[in-house]
Amino acid sequence: MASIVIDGLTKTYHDNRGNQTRVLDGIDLTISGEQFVSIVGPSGSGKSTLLNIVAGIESHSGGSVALTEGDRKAKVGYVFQDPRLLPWRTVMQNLGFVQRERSGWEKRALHYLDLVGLAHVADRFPSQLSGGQQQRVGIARAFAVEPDVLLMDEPFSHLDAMTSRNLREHLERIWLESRRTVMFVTHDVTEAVQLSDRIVVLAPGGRIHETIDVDLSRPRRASDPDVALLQAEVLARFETLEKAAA
Amino acid sequence: MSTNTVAPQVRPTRQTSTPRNQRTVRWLISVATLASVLVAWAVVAAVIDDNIVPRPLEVFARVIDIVASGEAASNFTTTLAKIGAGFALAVVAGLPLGFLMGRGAFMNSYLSLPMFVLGNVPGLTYAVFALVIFGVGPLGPVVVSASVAVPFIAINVAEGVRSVDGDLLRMCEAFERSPRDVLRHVYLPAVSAFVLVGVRYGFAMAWKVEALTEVFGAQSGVGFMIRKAYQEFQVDDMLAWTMLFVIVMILIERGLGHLERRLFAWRKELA
Amino acid sequence: MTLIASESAQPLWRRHAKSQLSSAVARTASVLTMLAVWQLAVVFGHRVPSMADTFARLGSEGAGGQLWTNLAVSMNRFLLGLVAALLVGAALGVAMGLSRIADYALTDLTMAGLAIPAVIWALLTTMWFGFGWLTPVTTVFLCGLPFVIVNIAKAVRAIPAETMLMARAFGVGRAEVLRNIIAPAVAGSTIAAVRFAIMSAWNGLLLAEWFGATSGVGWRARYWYDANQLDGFLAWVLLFIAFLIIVNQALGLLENRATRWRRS
Repeated sequence: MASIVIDGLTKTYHDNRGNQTRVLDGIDLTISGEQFVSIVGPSGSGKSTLLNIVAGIESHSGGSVALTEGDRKAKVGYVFQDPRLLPWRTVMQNLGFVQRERSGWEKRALHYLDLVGLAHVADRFPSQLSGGQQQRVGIARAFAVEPDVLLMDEPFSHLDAMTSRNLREHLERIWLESRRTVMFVTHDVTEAVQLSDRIVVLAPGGRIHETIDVDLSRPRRASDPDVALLQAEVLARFETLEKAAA
Repeated sequence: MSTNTVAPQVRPTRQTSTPRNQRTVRWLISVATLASVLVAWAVVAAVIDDNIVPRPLEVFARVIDIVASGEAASNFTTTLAKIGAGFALAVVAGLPLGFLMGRGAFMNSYLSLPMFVLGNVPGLTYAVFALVIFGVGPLGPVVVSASVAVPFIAINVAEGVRSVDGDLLRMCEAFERSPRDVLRHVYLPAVSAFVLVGVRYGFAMAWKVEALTEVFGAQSGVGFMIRKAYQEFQVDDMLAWTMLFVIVMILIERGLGHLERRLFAWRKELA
Repeated sequence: MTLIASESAQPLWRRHAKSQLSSAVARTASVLTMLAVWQLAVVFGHRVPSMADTFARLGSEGAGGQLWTNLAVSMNRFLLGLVAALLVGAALGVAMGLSRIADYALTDLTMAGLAIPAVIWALLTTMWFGFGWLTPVTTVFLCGLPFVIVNIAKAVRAIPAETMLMARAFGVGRAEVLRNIIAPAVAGSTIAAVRFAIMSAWNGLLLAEWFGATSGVGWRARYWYDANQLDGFLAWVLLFIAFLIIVNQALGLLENRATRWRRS
């Protein structure tokens, strides 16, 4: 069972003139098991920074982060805001590039490509795909690694509404099929409600404002009245937070 | 009083010519111009009536002789082999130099000046010193080709390295790719397109300097044949070899252009 | 784990100064390395002239008066050929840029012209015109011409069609179009054209004077080469390169000024 344990995490930026900005201020968070956890917050609340630190591509100033699967280090899959595919490799080769276990990876890769509905473009180059398709490949790539932990940084924020809706469905479908721990950063509260088991709300200055448990059944439709109700409620709480931050 | 209002003249729009028509027209005009140049040449040659300005037909006869006798094949092979060897050296040297230049500002400043010098030394200097250092033989032209080509390759490789997207590198980090993987799958492909561009431009420069080097100090090759013709006052031979030389080199330059387009089809939409 | 965000507490100006210093150090190290390589070549390659000998020879040429007379002669020939190349090249280039027919007719010839090595022109003109001034001047002209044509044609083609249509719609006369639309657009690229043409033409001059002249930079270099005094040869080559660098820098400044309107 995978777990992410964040203990007293802080991050401070120093700029050119020696000013300090505290981006994360004592984050305590434990995510374990096959949970889908969303991190939401207004801009300036440090959510992307948090994700990058958990992924290991940014350093932290204090506290600790531990990603474990049982007694070993957890395998991580990452989905970025933009696809970040190697333009000179085909879709299939892109999926192969991030694989660590080489045995039978092609079957795995094709399986996940199929789950996002792109098995038929496996031999195309990224430049031949649309933005939404490229992002889907990015998602398939992260899943095909069969990570213990999946980190996603606002993966749909650069896409139009229709494509995002589409991709959210794909994401939920894959996740239901092969559950794993997910840490999902988004600025879209309604998206968080639709996808997550738990929502962690960050306040500006990098503290956890509150945690909301989402107890709705899956699969969830955005048109479900229960989902809509909870969305409205969370949105209201979020708006007061944003106003306080402004 | 009646005012004459003139309606704006509606000019009939020129019929948009199809690409095939355009190609034919271009070909026709080009051929017509070449033909008139040939005619003018023939007239001038007839008027001057001296071996120093040979008639077009004489030169074409020599071209056919040279090709038929196999002289063309053997000398061009030699020359192109030297240029090729030089380029192989240039790529071997240029890749690491370019990487260093692309990755660090210090190395960039350090290496820029030597690259500039190598690229701008006059051909005559290369030719004379090749002769002085390497004597007569193939080594001089090979080294000269390499020297002229290295700056083009290094500078383009540096640009290729700099063009590697930081975002892609971060993706590699997030997925814990090894430095070898990053080199093989990110840097090398990104850079190879630039290398080809460097080869193209380097070639355009290098073959001229190589030819000059052969004129000064070689025992075979196209440059040598041109020098021989010059020393024997055979202007028709000189022109014949020059013509063949120019045609072959233009074909190669075009070929490299096609190669670039084919190999880097994935850049299509990015360009 | 690599750091992406740099957390240096240094102020901007200090980092800037540091990078300037490091680049100056790099360039000095570079020059020293090249001089060291030269020394090595002197030691290991027989007959490569040393720095001392070369500069000594440069000095003696200056003292003996050879320096300035030959330089002046070469400069005259060069300017003559270059100006001719610019005038003819500009005319042809503008024609090619404006008229598709002219473009189709002249492109292949221009490409061929670009492809012909300077040495060929030098040898041919020597044969045709002997040891007079016509040889180097014609070589300079022929070497520079294709570069001028290509660059100016490119500049003219780059003039947006809308501008030309606008001029035509207002009934602007040819001369005015030339002065106010074509000339400014071409001015910046003319400088660029001139730089490439100069490099090719100056090279051509050297070769033409080497093979077929009795005065000038190329001839003097040949004189020392024939006398087996490579320090003299190298001395004149260095002069040749120095001139090229100076002219290139000057033109670079001029180009920046001429294209100011494009950048501001």
